[in-house]
Amino acid sequence: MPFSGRVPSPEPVTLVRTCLLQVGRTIRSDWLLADGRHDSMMTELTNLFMPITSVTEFLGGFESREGISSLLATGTQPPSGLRAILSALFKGWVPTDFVMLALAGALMFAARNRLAILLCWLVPGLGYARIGEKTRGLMIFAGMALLWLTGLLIGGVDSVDSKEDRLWFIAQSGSGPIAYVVSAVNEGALKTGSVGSMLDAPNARRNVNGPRQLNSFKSVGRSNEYGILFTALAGLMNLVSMIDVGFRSRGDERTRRGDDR
Amino acid sequence: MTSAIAWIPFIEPVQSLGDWWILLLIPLSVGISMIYKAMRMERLDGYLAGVATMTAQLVLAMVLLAIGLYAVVQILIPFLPAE
Repeated sequence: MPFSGRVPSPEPVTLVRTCLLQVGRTIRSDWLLADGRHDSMMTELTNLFMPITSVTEFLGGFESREGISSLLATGTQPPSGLRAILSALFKGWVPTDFVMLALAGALMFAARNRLAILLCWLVPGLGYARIGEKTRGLMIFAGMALLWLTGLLIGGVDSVDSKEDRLWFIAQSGSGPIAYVVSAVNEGALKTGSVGSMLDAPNARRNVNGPRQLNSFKSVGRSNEYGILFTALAGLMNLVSMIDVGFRSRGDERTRRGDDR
Repeated sequence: MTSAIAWIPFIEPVQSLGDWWILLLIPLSVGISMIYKAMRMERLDGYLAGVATMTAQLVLAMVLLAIGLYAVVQILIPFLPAE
């Protein structure tokens, strides 16, 4: 049948059903893969939905060089289209360690307050002092400090890892040098065994060319998730503040009002 | 108790969050609100009130999302045909 030029809109019931199936797939895959839960509800969902390549599985495969290697080595469908682009990005051809720094540099070309952007990246909130809004800058610094200190308190220095958590590190590095410092401490102290003790890695990790030994202080589970989440969100919020400070005008109403406070 | 004494803050992760991990949403929301309100408020007079309000809004939104997801997973999805 020739294409008539009109795409038939799906029945509302079909549309709702498709959406629900998609939600169910995502929940199922995330929970199954992240926590390894196999309770009754998950079993039901597993029976209900066909095997899928989930978002978690997809991103997990590209999160590290080892991940993509194992993904391809195990005979998983080779990447194509968007998958190919992402695999090229995250196989290590693009140094993800400096993505945020490059973004800050690009912002500086377009922004009004170039130096303020750089200062904001170096020390969160400092750029606001540059344009005469010290109080605003202090409040942003306090918020950033809260997120970073809480994140590190929960997840330890292992929350920031530019090698193993490459995608998360893009967000974390938005906070500036602190992300690189913590990652370096992680590399230098935890991975070398300067603190804690080195333990044999589980077989599952060895199979994906991971390290053969892990530090006893390595964070796992909820601690790791929340440590990463706090620090990554801090980085993204600082990116927003860099954009904000870059395009603020000294003369606009908001700046003048907040200036002397 | 012994493990708590041996804990090295900021180097070692928290030993066990138990069932309290969900409460971490509160400091997370406070931190985000502090930064966002500092950027967006025209006058910083009502800063603390603004932060408190936004924190409450974030937590409430997450609670409502959780209720919605619970309803989808526990009530709606079981009604779907297993074809």
